[in-house]
Parts: sequence; C-alpha cells; structure tokens
Amino acid sequence: MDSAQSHLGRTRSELERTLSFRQALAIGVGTMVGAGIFLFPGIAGGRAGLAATLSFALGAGVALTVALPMSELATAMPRSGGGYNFVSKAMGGMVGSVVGMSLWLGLVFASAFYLAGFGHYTVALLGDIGVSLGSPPVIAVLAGLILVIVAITGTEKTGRLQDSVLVILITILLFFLADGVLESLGVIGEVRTPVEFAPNGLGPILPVTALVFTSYLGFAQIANVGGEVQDPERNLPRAMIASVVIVGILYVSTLYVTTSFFSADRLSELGETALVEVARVLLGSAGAVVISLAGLLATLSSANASILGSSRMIFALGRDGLIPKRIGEVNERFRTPHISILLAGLPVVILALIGKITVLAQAASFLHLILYGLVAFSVVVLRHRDTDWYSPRFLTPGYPLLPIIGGFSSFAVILFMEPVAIAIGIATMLASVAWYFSYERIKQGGMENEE
Amino acid sequence: MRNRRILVPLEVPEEAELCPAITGLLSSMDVVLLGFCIVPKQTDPEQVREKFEEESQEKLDEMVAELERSDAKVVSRLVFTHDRMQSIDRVADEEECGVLLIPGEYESCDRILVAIQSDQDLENISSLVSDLVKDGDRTATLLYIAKDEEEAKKAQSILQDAKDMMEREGIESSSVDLRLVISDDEAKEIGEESISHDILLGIEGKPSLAKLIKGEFTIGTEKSKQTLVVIRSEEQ
Repeated sequence: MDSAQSHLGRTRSELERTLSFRQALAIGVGTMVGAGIFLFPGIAGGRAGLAATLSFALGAGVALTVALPMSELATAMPRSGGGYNFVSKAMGGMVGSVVGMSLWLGLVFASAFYLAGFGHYTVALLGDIGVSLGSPPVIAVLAGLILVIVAITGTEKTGRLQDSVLVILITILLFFLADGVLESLGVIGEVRTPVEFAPNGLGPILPVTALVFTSYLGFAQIANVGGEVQDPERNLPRAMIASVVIVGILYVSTLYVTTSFFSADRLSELGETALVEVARVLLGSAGAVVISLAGLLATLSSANASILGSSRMIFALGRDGLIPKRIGEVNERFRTPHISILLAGLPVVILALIGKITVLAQAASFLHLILYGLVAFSVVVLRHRDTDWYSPRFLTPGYPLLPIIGGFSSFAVILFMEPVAIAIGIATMLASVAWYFSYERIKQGGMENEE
Repeated sequence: MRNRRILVPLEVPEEAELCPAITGLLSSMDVVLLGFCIVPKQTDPEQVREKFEEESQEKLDEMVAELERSDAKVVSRLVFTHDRMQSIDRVADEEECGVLLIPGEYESCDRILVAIQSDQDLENISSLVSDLVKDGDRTATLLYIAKDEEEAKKAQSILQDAKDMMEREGIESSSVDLRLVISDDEAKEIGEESISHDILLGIEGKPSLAKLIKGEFTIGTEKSKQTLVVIRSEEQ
C-alpha cells in the first residue's frame, strides 16, 4: 500500500488501490475498441484494401514496443499521470511539461474523434429505423455535453454501467467476427472469390498505419491510473500488454472480414459506418441495427474514457506546478475535478463540431506518438543513469534494442501522416513550450511580489 | 483466543462523530479507528485527498483523543478509497482486528441482541458479549432462530452454554436473557427482535448481517438504526 509519506512527507493517510486486473484491462480495451473496429474499417479498407490488415498489425507492433517499456516504467512509478510522469522523471520538467500538455490535448483530439464517430453511428441507426434527425456534428456535440455533465455529477452507478457495456460490446463483436470469418472462408454460405490483397498497391500501407494508430492509444490510459491498480507490479504490465494484443487481434479480424465482403472502392463510399453494411450482408437488417448500437456504445465509451483520462492529465500537471494547482481541485459536493473535466470536455465539444474525423484522429495520434517515443527512450535514459529510486519490477525484454526500436518506430509513424495533422501537432507542442516558459515567468513574478 | 481488537469504520469527514454511548462501550478496549473518505470512480483519490485530508485527519484525531480519555487504546488510519468494503477488509486484516463495530443511529448502547446460529465460535461470542456487558447497565439477549422443533432442542442447550460461559466471566444471570424462536425466516425474526435493541451482534457471513436486517444496512451509505458488532470469520 502506498502511504503518502513516500512522496509528500507530511501525511499518514493512504490511497486505496481498488482496480483489479480485469478492470484495468477494461480501461485499456474500452478506450481503444471504439475506433479501430467501428470507425476505421471503411476508411482504411477503402485506401489499402485487404492490405489494411497489415497496417493494423504494424500498428499493434509499434504499440507493443511502447507498451513493454511503458510497463517497466509503470512498475517503477505506479501513480497517476502515467507516461507524462515517466518522461518528466527521465528528461526533465520542460520536456515533461510539453508531453503532459500534448497528451492532455491529444486526448481531447481523440475524444472529439470518437464523438464525431458517435454522431455518424447515431445518424446511421436513426436512418435504419426510418428517422432522419440531426446531423452527425450536432449529435456529437450534444453527446459531449452529456458526458461532461455525467463526469462531473456522476455516481458510482455510471462506472458500473461502463463495465457491463464493455462486456456486451465484446460479446457482440466476437459473434459478428466469428460469423464473418467463417463466411469469408466459405465455411458457411456461398464460396467467395478471393479479394485482391492490395488493390491500390503497397504504397498506402504505412500511411494507413499512421491514420489508424489512434486505435492503439488506450493502453497508456492504464498507466495513467497506475496509482489505483491493485498489485501494480504484476497487473500493470499484464493489463497493458494484454489490451494491445486483444484489440490488435480484434482489429485485424475486423479488417479481414470487412475487406473480404466489400471492394476498396465500395468501402471508401461507405466511410465511417462501413461495418454496419458488412453486418447487413452477413446478418440482415437486424445485424445492421445491432452493430450500429454496438458502435454507439463503443464510440461513446472511448470518448468518455478519453475525457476522464485527459482530466487526470490536467490534475497531474497541476500537482507538479506546471499549471495553476486550483485547476485540479475537486468539487466539494460531487468530489469530482470539475474544472479539469471542463478543460478536457469543452474543447472536445468544440472540436467535435468541426467533425473532420481523419484529421482529428491523426492529430491525436501525433501527440501520443511523441509521448510514446519519449517513453521508450526514457527507459534507456533511466537505466543508464542508474539512480537509486529506479527499481522496476518488470524489465523490458530485449533491452536495449526493443525500446530503441519502439522509440524510433513511434516517431517514424508520424512521418506518414497528412501534413495538416502534423501541422496541428507541431503547433500544439510549440504552444506547450510557450506556456511552459511564460508560466515559469508568471510564477517567479508572483514569488517576487510576495517577498 | 481470537483477536479482540475492534475496527470502527467511519466515513470522513461527514460521519466523524462518536456518541458518548459508543465511547463508553469502547472504553478500555483495543480500538482501530478507520476514517474512510469515498472517492467517485472518475476522480483520482489523490485529488480528493488534497481537498479533504486535513479536515478528515483533524476529526479523526479528535475522536482518538476522546476515546483515549475513556481509557481505550486507539490507533487511527485514514484511507481515500473508491471501495469502502475493500478498505475495511484490508485494514481489518492489516491491523489484525477480529471485530468490526459500525456505529448506528441510536444514541444508547444498553440493550445488546446477540444472534447465535450454531455452536461455532460460541466461546468467542460469549467472551466478547461479557466484555461489553461487564461495565454499566447493559443487558444482552441471546437469540437463536431454529428451523424446527428438532433444532430447537439443540439450540436450547447452545444458548444455555453461552449463558453459563458468560456467568463464569462474572456476568450476573439477570443481565442475560435467552430467547428461542422457531421460524424459517431468520432475517425477518432477527429484524423484528432487533427493534427493541440498541446493538446487534453476530458473526460475519452467517448469514451476513447485511441480510439479517433486510437490506436496511449498507455500510456507510445508509446507517442502520442499531449499532452493529460483527465478529469477523477467520476462514477467508
């Protein structure tokens, strides 16, 4: 048990670790599953055809080479803030600050991306039952506002609700994927002519990897709640690695099924909700409705998890004096950090209104990948420095090669993004640097005034 | 002899008060005072600690001082948690507490209802009840709910055994009532009997005390009227 003495030195109170392995895994899978399965198959399959399965597999590979070093760091520093803490410790306050701010906004972009997807699914579902009401961005904004309100006022019931949503979701998916794989192999139904592996050549594989990498952002959320996981030395590495492997398998199977039933051109037309049409072919209109509902749940739970993750980042930044501490304070009545939830949630709502799914996704990935690269290198830095306090219980296999590969491949993925996403990412980081220096100056000014 | 250390969980900062009757009951006992502060799932416990630690710790310290004045030996712990039951169980294990006491709404502690379900732990129960009854004007009712006539015969002798043990510990015969009821609705009977008592005492999970008072009791969220004293079962 963590006693506060270890890092605050003024108190004897304790923080209970309440998250089990299963719950930690659910945070990772729940954050990730929304995007890769329900939003990207159409877009990715449309660009790369069946070869998009390779893009997703590559993404999983990059995520794993980061998840392993991140696990090592998490067992040495199991507290909230996750990756941001690790980089701060290894590379100093300035780099840490930029990464922390970037991650806050990276999660904002990710959340807006999931909400935009939620909007598309709602419109598709309503269309299926013959109602045409609202446009995707408007629905996304409403959903975002509701999530913020629930996050501030919500009770323990909403937490439990989220757990059962994930179980329902995975059950639906496994059934759908099993049926899809069997049908595509011709075990059930008519024998199909094999689709062309790469209708647009091998060129799109890496750009698609960069595009869909948002699907792998959730495992870092497990490190972000590292302070609340039971038996962290055992459960953090297991949950992070298992979550990447599980969603990786789900994604590759989903892409395989999707591209087996529709040509790349057709998938491009279908866009975000292509999976609904696959379900219609496989299981009729009832299947389409079920998959639409699953898509609603998945995108909403991903958006929610990202808003909460983002608000925790903001708290960690305030705790470390990189932004005003007041921002992380909890509300007397609800005991939720209302200011940081608003700072996480309101930009999400604004971005969701813009609704450019692929740009939002890549901006989110860009900011996360910077962190991931630095996290991977942090392991090398900390081990090399050989400080007393750094005693991880989980050691990255294949050290130092694996973290170095993880670091470089994270940065390499960025090179394949669209210029506009790279520009947004760089602008965000520059803004973080500017904030860091001006806030340092404000703090110093404040101290001088007091004297 | 099982550990007689008593864990008293209290939600802080709001519930942090012990009525004089409870303080009296705990006098000269070995007590662990656990202040638990509930953290919503979406909040980091560290954040709630920032806000409520000082106030909670102050209130805990006041209660510790009060208990020490009545000669109790007291240790206090303060936990910020998403899950009160987990924290209560963990601290009870760590501090080796064999008994759990959850203060109720009633401001008196004189009439103790002891739910006995078998001869298991009988010695433990009798000696704990003796300790509680020893000082002051407290009385105990030993209650056994038997399913049928056959069980009732056995129950009669179990109850008598318990009373004998208490008398050997120096408790006057007039302070102990025996009550035997034949019914197959244990929870309902105990619930009805408990109305005329201030304290309900039983063994954890046999059946659970929570069930016994028909959902009235959930630690912390809704106070039961009676103070609950639970003997923790050893087999986990």
